[in-house]
Amino acid sequence: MLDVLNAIFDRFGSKLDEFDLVPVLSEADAEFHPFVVAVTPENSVKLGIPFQIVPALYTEASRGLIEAKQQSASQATSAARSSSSSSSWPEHAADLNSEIVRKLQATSRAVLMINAENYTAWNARKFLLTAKAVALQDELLFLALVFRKHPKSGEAFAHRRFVLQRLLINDPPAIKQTRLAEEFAICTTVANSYASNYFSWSHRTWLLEQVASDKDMVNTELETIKAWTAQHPQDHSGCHYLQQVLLARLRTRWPVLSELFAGEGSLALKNAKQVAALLSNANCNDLAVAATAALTEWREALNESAALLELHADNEALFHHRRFLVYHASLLAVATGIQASTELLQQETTLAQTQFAPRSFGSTPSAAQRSRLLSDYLSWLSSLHQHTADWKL
Amino acid sequence: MKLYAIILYQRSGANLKLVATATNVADFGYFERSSVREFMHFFSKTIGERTAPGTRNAVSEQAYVFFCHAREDGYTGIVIADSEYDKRVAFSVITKSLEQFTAKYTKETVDRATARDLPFPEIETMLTKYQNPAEADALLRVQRDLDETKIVLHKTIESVIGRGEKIDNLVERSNDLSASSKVFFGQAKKANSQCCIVM
Repeated sequence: MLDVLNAIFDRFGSKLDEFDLVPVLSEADAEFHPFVVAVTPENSVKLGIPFQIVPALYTEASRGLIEAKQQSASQATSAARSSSSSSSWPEHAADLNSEIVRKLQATSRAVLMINAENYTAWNARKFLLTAKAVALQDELLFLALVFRKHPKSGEAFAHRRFVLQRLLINDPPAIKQTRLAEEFAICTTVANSYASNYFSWSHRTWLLEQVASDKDMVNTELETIKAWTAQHPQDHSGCHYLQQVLLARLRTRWPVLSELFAGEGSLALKNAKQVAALLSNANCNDLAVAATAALTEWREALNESAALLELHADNEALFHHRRFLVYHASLLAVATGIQASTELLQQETTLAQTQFAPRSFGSTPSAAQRSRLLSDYLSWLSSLHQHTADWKL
Repeated sequence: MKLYAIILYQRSGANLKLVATATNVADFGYFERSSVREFMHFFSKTIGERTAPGTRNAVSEQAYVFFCHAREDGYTGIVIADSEYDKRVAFSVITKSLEQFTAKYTKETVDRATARDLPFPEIETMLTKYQNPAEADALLRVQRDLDETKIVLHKTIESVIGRGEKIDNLVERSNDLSASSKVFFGQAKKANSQCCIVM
């Protein structure tokens, strides 16, 4: 079976962009029996692995993988005449003959298509990559294929980062930019196929750090993610990432604000001393100017969130996002002068009471949910209000 | 929020006749698509047949919700969406589609024809249009006052089909589902999810 699978990969290579488990075997006389191969009108190739053969295929592949690993270790040891432990990977791939390399590549590929959490198989591939037996670029394509079936595989994302780090070091700026844009697109695809996918979002946060200094890319990313959160209003992981992008944008534009937002934008409230220290430390004038400008921009995000909340006031994720926005707005307001902060919170309370209140329609579950969320939010606001009053110092 | 299908039926006796349909299966795997489409129609019909004229149903099944509105005059509309989709918007989409359809074809025409003879491209446009959250919100601003108390909520399809019947049996007996879709259903049930790691 493994040989047939290899033949399919040799024949179609990068055109193969999707695989799945299917309930039926192909005809016994078909070219790729028992696999099902379909070519779409767009000339991309889809591979179907029948349910029945999965256990056998996995056993064959993982046995082959362990065998190949042992062969490679013993061969390298005899070539180098050293007494290194036979369970680790050889240091030099040049010691290996091409047959073993091929076997490692084919068996680890088959194993990972069925079980993307197999550590040994990813390690085999890391070894092949460092030995330059597999091109980094091709490995990205293989990973994209694996994500189609296993969108929530932490190991696969770790491996992708391993590959990217090696690629990005050598990339000229222009190529680096397209590569990162492609990466963001992959994250979107994966996030769409599995809601609240932690690995995909933390990969994306890592990517965001790589582009943080590039204003255009951060702006594009902000637009993309805004559209995404509108499409998935109940997925808090999207909102959380949106918050990271908003903060990254402020930091890039007004570096002087970085310190005010230290602590990863969490809602852990700063105490009076910390705020006072910040205000006296920084060049107060610069900070006030930057904060005023930033606050004006922040209001745009506040308005967007208010419009959404007015319509979907039974959505908890939207209220959490609003807390984040209001907390940071009040921090910015403090930096411009404490009076501004008090005013901002008073306005917010009035707004919440009038606009986010449930419309009067009997006692439906969603109306009950709305008034519960609203009263939670209002009590959070009043505690924030008391808390910021201490910031006067 | 995602709209997967808008399906319209006309009731004749205890049965429903398909009169217009639009589905969006781009999110599903290449090999799943035809089975998914068959199952969308199969579940919709099952739910529609059990919705009394003049009532509204919302049925959750796994990550999907089937919204069903059976009108007094026998026309029944179904919208399939994910669980994030706003139910007020979903029911407005059904109302709009049925209004447009009945404005285009008279009852007499529909009685004598099948879905194939009743081209209704407007329904595809509608399906695309209300994927867009901005369009859905615009509809919501007008339609905010839908009385939610009148909607009957069901947590599973099993609770709609009632006593003495099992969805597995219905699937097995159905003539609308192909053999491979039935196997797919069995495998998915065994693995307890439609997008699973089999191991």
